[in-house]
Amino acid sequence: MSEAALVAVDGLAVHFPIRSGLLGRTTGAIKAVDGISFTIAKGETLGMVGESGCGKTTAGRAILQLTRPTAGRVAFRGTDLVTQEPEALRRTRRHMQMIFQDPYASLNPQMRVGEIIARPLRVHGVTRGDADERGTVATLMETVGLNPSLRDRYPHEFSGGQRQRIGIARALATNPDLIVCDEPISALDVSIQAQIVNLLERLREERGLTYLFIAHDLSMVRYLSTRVAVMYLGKLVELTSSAELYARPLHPYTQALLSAIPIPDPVLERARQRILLEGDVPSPANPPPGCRFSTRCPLATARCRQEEPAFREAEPGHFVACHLV
Amino acid sequence: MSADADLAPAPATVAPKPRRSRLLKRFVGSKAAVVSAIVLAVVLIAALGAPWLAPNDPFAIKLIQRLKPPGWVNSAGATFWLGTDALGRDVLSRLIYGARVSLIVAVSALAISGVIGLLLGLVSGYFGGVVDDIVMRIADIQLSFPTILLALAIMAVLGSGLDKLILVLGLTGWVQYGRIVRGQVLAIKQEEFVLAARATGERQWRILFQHILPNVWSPVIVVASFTMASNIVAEASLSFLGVGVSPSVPSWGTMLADGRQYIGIAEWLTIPAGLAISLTVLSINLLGDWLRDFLDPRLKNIL
Repeated sequence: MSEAALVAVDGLAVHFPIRSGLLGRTTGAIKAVDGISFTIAKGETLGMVGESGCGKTTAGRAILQLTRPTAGRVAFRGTDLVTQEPEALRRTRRHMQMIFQDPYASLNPQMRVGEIIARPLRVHGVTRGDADERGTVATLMETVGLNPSLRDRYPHEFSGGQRQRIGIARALATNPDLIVCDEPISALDVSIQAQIVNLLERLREERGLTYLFIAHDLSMVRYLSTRVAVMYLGKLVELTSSAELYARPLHPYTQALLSAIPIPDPVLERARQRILLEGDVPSPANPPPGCRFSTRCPLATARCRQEEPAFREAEPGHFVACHLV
Repeated sequence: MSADADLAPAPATVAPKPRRSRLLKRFVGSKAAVVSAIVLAVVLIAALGAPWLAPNDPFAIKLIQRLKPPGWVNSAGATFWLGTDALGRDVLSRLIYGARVSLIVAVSALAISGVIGLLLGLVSGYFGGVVDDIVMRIADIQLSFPTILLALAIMAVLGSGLDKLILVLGLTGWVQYGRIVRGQVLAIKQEEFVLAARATGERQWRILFQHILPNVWSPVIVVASFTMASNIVAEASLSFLGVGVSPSVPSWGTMLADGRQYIGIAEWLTIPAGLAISLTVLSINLLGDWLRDFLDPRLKNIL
């Protein structure tokens, strides 16, 4: 697996210092991401799910070095991004792009759409001359289902779904290998979500893209992903193929998450056993000792509260961090 | 065009109305804005066309015709519509030439403080850290002195004169811009589109000047309108105190200062200059208010 891996994340951690007092002394740290390791193979879609605040967005940004990691390595196409020089990293960005959650905030309100899409082309010198640039922008707009004649409009003249298409065109402009999709559909109308998901799926097939697809909607992730990683409070708790995860979840947290998905069949839905988690997610500034899920886990033992479980390959290709498996 | 015509859906083939015509329409809808614009246009025309508009030489001293009341006609047949001052100079001509000084000082000082404030505010807000601390502490120190006092102190060292007045007002005025731009940048740099620009691989200075700067213009324009008004008052005040432009140069401030001694017997020396200052400042402020409303994004849909 490591041979074909496009991205290899090893021990990635992002801690945000908590400063307090007059002198702004560091008095603690929010451990948003606390040592996660996984690989993404070329051409696959790795889904990353978890509750709000579990660190999945931070993890995505840290992989692209938009938030600098506190520790760990991110090997992209064989090069460690964490130690790369700023200028080299800037050039590497041509091959890794991002699609953002909020299609309203992620487009500059003062820039015309054609300009927004043309920017990456200019930054990386993809096109030669104005005519080439105009042509490429038009092709990109058509690819994502936008009429190229709208290039001189401003973002506020578009709907949410159209804006997300603009964001996708921008991410595609430099023909990247990897696209980190940070909840690209959660801010959209349900009627639009399927369109965008189908567009992303079509683009992946046509262009051989690799996605890191961050989401909190498990059903959408199941449809899109080759493998799925489940995050809880800054740690990975389970990682396996999409089919395996939904058929045989090993971690109690994953089981609880999956039990919350409604089944579109009234008979089965009535029989569905929900595992209700009690309490809130603990603060990432002060995570519980031992297993981080132990405070809410229905199966937790004394060992779970003291000793942190290792993230290990319980079955071939099925990674899990739980003492009970 | 009736108001209803705007409510009807535009035919698909017609391009959306250009922003300029909407601006004009809303502008005409505000009486205060129109009146202010007319007042400012008169001041501007007076400043630009002073040599042709002034009926008499504003510098010519003729003690024989000193302190004549408005409407006085001298032996050569020249009419002095606003009378003459203590040295026999034509008040109306000095008032017209005075508009020049006021506008030159206000606009030049505005340009200097605007450029300094914009640059320091952008850098301070975007890069933060030590640069931000230094810039903001300088701003705090400067703000702890009243502007006029600071200007007085500097002018006392440098001496008076139009160029020095502009420099002093320009250098003391940057704080307002610096602070508002920094605040805007602090907010805007957290926006996802800035993160998107970084993800694209844009260089830092391009992000700052091409992605962030276009989003800070509207508050800057509004602050500029208010600073312009305060610059006019500051020029008048400093000239009144005798450290602004030299007394022979006609400015509204020096006219007030000169006329002060004769206020009991020749009120026409101070009233025109005082009115000119108040009306101009009031107009700029009203226009600034209107501009602020116009640029408010929450009101954009009403436009």
